[in-house]
Amino acid sequence: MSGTKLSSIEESARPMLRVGLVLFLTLPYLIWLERLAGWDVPALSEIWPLAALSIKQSLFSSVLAMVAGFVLFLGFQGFSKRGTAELVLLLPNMIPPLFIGLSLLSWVTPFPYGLLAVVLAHALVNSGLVAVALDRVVQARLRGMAEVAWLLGSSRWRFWREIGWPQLKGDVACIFLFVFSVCLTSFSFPLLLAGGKLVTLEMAIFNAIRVEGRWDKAVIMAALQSVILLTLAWSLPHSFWPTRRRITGLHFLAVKSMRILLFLPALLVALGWLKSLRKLPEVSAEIVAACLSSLALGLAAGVLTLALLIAVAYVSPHDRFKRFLNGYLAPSPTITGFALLLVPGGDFIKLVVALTLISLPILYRWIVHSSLQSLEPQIVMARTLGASWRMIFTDVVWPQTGESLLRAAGVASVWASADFALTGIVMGNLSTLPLVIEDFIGRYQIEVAETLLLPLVVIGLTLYGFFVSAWGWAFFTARHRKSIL
Amino acid sequence: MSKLDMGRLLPHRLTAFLIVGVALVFGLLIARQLILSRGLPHSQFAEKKLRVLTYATFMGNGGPGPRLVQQFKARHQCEVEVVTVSDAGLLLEREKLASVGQPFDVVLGLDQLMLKGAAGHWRSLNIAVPGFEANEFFVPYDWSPLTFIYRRGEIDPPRSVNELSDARFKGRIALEDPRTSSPGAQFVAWLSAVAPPDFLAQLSPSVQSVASSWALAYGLFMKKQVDLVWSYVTSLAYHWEVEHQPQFQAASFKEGHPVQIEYAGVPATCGECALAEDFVRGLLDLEAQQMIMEKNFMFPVIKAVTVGTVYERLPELKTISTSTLTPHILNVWDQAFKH
Repeated sequence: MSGTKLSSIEESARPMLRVGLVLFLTLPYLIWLERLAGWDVPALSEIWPLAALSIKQSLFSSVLAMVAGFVLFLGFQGFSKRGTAELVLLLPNMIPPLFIGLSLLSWVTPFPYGLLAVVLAHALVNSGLVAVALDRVVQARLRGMAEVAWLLGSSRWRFWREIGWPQLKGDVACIFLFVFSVCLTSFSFPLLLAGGKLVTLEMAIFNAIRVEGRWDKAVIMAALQSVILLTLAWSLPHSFWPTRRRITGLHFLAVKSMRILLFLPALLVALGWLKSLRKLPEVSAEIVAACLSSLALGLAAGVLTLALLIAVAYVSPHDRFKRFLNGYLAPSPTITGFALLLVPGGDFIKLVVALTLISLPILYRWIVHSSLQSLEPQIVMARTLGASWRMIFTDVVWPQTGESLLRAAGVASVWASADFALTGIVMGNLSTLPLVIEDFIGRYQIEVAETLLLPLVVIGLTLYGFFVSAWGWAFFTARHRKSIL
Repeated sequence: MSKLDMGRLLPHRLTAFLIVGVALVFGLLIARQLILSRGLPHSQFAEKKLRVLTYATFMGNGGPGPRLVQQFKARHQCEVEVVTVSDAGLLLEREKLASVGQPFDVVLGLDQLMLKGAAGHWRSLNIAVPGFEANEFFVPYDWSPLTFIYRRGEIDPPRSVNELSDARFKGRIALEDPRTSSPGAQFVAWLSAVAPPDFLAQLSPSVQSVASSWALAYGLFMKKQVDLVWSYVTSLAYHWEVEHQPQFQAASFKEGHPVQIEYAGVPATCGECALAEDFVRGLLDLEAQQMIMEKNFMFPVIKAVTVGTVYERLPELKTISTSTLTPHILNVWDQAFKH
């Protein structure tokens, strides 16, 4: 096939692939649109208080996470083992919410159930992520200026006020939106820690299904959430969130006394869990099989996520597609899970698709978007010089974003292997480790259940390690790096 | 290797990586299947297939489901496919969705508050169980009164509903959310039957937490975060028999107690209807009832099964029937606990 012909095929295939990806991601909504016969739109007076409360909860959670994340960021700058520190900071994001909730409960008696508890839990989980995100943005945008400011004897406060904030406010807004969207769609923490005092939109969606059997109402409320976020994403400036970690911190900005705080979120979670480790379960065939199921599920979700992200990278850049991915929110696990149950196919495949549909938009915003965004000038240049889209992908996009795509696939696999909510709906007869854990909790054996968190974390780390290390052994060996650099 | 070489090789490497990933997934699933299918009888590969829908705990490692299913398979030389949902409250929604695709033959785990929502599309069974109200479509297979469980020596237990709002219980009670938990729904239905509507507001200072599930509420009680938890009186059977901890006790209310009865039913859309009826009838066998009692920690519906067991020693509580859960009751609940 000639180069010109291939190129024209690519030109028509790329828009189709983009449409295909949008249709795939919105699949749960499309299924319900097709299946539901009647739509009874709930009154605004019914939805508005829920939406207002959800926004309030997400606002408080994300503001606190941003403030705590900034403090952790200052400590992070004075820490030499940055790779370890980053993993510790991101650890709470990788642990199932049920265990974060139980860890928190073991620290405070009586526990302050309600809005405060939910906000604290969200801040605990997301502050490390904010610190890592801030680190990368500041390192990329302000590293040189921070060094000059230090040489000229500027105070830290003056640096932040006159240089830092004006330069970073767009990026901070994007990080804020990301954390806000995570908190807005959070279901597990409000369910576990609200203590009946808080009904968020996400919980109301679940109630509409469970108590009223009103799928139309649930889908409308989920769509409303998506519209809120899509509007916010559309109104924000283009974000820039570099993905590569710098080897050294910015010592001028470091507050060394805050280094100790770096471990606080992970320690609160880990020690809370260790405190309750008393009973070890017998290793039965069912537990081994459940571990294998979780591994298979995580691996499959990671592979599908990777394949979809490769497709996203191939069809990028495209402004409207990018804004869609930055603002689109998958509907809640219940809506997604039940939507997929309506279509034919094996339960395992449907579960993998459902898990991917839920996690992909978040992972795109968190990990992939920035690395693709930073390549746009190079792609424009390559196109001007006549490079085909295929060549751009293999020679420009993949070598520079492959690591991020694999990391996103790794996180998707961790989340999938530890999922309770969707697996509980779609699983059919597949028993994964989180479901075995739930089973133990349901049989008065909460201590045994807490012990099983250990193999769950090992499975998560194995899967994450598999995808992240693949960059080294499968795609980008030292020899390649040498020849390119 | 040049950059150009890498560009040429990359699609192959990516394809190979994705194929290896998919192959690994299949490998893990096959390994899992091999572990689970060790020693399975040939009936596993029989033609007839019964599809059962139930909640996860019933089919879990320690639940009665796996052995009941195995026995049924051996007896009827058929395959049984069990599909579970993590939350019993979602059983009806799951069943409704399945009826348009691959319908279920048996649904296990509905309670009496769900039966109203389940009416209309079930096969007539007419299986009477002595001591239980006759129901044309559903068959009870276990039951338990609900009450507050406490540890003897830690508190003076409540004896009437009004006492729950006493200052001595301030912040000491764990309840379940009626929207997400069936014991929670039973609690609200019970209160609406035995207390005035404004009692929930008086009760709220005593409530330390409204957990999303029975398991979480009970977990808080086990971790000594609370002194009283709304649960089944049969929870005592676990503590007394398995843990040998007699200090766990059940509060007895003069107003009476709600009862949760679990039912099995056969959807009208069933494929293997005769087999499904046999399965439901089989739940009332003495052996099956004993298994349900021992593994599900609920009273069997055939009373003779409890003879000589810990269930005979459990406190006999006065029971009352509870009405259906209405949106109005839930609104009252919301108002009481929002602040």
